Amino acid sequence: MAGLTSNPNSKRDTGDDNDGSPARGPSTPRWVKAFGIAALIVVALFVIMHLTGHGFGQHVRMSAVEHGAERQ
Amino acid sequence: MMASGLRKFALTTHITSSIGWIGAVAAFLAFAIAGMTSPDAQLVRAAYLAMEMTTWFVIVPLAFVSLLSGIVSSLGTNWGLFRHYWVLLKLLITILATIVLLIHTQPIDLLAAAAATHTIAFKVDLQSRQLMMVYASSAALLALLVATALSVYKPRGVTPYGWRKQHE
Repeated sequence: MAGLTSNPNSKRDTGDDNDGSPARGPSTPRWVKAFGIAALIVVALFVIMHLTGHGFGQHVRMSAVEHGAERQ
Repeated sequence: MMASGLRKFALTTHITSSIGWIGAVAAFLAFAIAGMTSPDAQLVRAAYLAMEMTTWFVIVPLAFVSLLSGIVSSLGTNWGLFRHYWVLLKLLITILATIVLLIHTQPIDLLAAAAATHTIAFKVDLQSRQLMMVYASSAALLALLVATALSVYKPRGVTPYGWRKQHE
């Protein structure tokens, strides 16, 4: 993705949370967990808004005033 | 691994399309706010027509170019697509943002179709949807800015798959 410029194999970028045992691998970084929770909240809000009719996936109705004369 | 020239071309395409996507969504947000708040019916019409044009001719193409060029860039380098959490999260953000964008093209088209044939005076029954248009583009803008920040900061963390690959 964007900005894939520095070397991923450098110490800085290889994921220094590699504190797990060789058999188990690294634990999930804290920032990833926080990110996941925030994403779940946003997705839940999005779904709730659509299910309660505040989204705009529903049929869009509109009132129009054509040539200055109101028409419902 | 990709050749250096090809890698730089893919990266340039990805950066350009991603930043262009952000700019186009910011313009969309400005139109959405104008469409919701302006008392000028002509301006409201123009805003919804411009939103449709911007969506189909700028935002949707840029979204797909950004997604594809990002996949090519990551797979063609040592970063990989599933090895680092920040790359994986960027991919998920881009896919989710593209899906949400495509879902919302239908009401944008309906608003633009009405704007093309009528002088629209939006009533109370549409206000929640107009507000949602502002919310959706604001959320998209925030998500794209987060994706950009992820590529600049590259927070540490290798996925279990990436860790296995490193130790093969």
